[in-house]
Amino acid sequence: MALGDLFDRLFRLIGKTYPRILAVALVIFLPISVVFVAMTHHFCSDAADMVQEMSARADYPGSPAPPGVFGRLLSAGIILFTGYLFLLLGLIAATVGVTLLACSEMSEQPLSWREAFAAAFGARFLRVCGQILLQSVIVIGVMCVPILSVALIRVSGWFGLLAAIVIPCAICLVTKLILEWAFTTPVIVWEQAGVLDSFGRSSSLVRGRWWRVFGILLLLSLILQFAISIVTTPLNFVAMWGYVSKIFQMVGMRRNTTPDPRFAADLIRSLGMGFGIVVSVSQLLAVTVSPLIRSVLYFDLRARRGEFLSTSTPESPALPV
Amino acid sequence: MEAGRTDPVTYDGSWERKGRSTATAAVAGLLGIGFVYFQGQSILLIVFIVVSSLHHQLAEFSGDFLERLTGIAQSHKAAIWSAVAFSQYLFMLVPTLWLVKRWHSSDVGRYIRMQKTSVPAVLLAVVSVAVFLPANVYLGNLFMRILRIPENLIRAGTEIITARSTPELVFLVAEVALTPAICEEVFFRGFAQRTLERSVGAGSVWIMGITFGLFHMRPLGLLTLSAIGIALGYFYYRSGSIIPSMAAHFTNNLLVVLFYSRSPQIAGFSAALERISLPWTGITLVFSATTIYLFHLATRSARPGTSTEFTAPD
Repeated sequence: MALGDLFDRLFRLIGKTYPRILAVALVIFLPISVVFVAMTHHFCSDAADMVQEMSARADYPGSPAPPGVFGRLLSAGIILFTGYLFLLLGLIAATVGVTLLACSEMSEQPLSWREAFAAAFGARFLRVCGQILLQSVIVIGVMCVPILSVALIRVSGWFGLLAAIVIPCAICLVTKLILEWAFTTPVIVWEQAGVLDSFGRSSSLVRGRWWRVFGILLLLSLILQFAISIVTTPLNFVAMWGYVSKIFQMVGMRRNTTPDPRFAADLIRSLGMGFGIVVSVSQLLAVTVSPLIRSVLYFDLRARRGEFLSTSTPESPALPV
Repeated sequence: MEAGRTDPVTYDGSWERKGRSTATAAVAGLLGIGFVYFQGQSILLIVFIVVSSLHHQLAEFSGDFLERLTGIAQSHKAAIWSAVAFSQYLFMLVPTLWLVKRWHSSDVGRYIRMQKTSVPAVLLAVVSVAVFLPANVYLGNLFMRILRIPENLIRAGTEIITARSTPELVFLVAEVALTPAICEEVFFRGFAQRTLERSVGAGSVWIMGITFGLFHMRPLGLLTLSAIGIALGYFYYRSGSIIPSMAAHFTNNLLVVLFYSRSPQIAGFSAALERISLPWTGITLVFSATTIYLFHLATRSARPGTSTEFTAPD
């Protein structure tokens, strides 16, 4: 398919499946978003309390540190990390459900949103989690080499030269790997491949078409982010209103006014819930479109390999509807 | 698409030949050109401001952060608006015309409906938008009061659009009123609404009107911008010509520039508008709606079933 055909196929798919996709994404994501928002709010409230106590102590130099500061910091950090973990798991489940809906529609075997939801938490979910974990370990492992080189510059200047060579190589390698493994999710979800098999299968699909896939994924991702930013700007303004109004208050203060120490704490406290809502909404919108892009490209790559009809050609592959 | 309308446009573009969805073309073009425009504008702004900083010796600005920011914005006003105008022509108008020619029709002018229409229709479109200005100002002030936005922040924000001399006023009219009237109308109405109209008919007026409001990325102005966008879209749809919406867009932006101008001749008018009360705002709204209704009657000849009919190709 040419780029225009891909756009056309993608939008037709969105038109046919969006209500079901939204249903799956909302049912999975909404409860998780509520938990995430509560956790970011809790984190920011804790952080604000600590800032307030520290600024109160600053007025009394020499006073003892409030008890359990580090413990509170650690528990606040754990709460935030847990919130992000929940969000990530919710995203994975929603991605599995949306990918399954998209692939089934492309193969003329449409599923209801309930069927997709039921499949979103099974073996496919665990395999996708395993794939993401393994991919992250590999990517971090590769990036450790240049990071280590930079860290060892103090030991010897030769590590600086090594870093200058290794950093661009590592970036290229990571980009190559991420792109070759871009279709592991549709492979796992639709072909029900294992974790290790999905890496090989995705690489074989991309092989010989690396630049094309890179260009299309980059273009569509940028456009998707732009579309999400257009739609969410007013929503973000409303969600972050508590924080924005505090900024307005600060801006409106006269020049010689002594700043209130509680102001910084109030600013941090007002950030929590709004930030959680902003992140949840933008991730929800992204998860309803991004898997569709990969699914359409996945079928296009399969068609270019002649996997559907013997009479199809790479220029005009006979794709399923 | 409304039945019975015959369009003299030849759909010989690559998108048309392959029988693809026109709704997809509208959305893809809107997002693609929109993305290019915003990124290009950001780059141009940086370039123009850097050049302006090198060319002019920056004065020392005293005062708090906002006062200094206002001073810097004032000194770089020409650079900022030049960058915005350049980016509108370079990254919005040119890509739109290119896309229409490549995807839809070699007869670009006819496709975007750059054709003459009746003078009363143009005048009524202009008057209806002009009379909407008091409601626009009233709503804007109401939001500022409810949300307790500080005066110094409002002053800093409006400084960029304030003309302090006649040459500056002429410059701002060219950059703020004329340029968007051409570029944004061709993009939003001439291409996006026109293409979407072929799939969803009159619904394209509402969709593109709200999209117009969203694209400006000004949450506080979303309501009024969307209302103006819907009105402009309606003028375009109803008249079958881009001229009324261009004229109305120009008028709206011209009045905004004049409103913020520091010219003594206009100061009284601006002050009166600032103090306008809710009953008078209601009266101007009714007058605006009446003018739109008169526009509706005046453009009856462009409705389906008359000589300017067209058939949808899809």
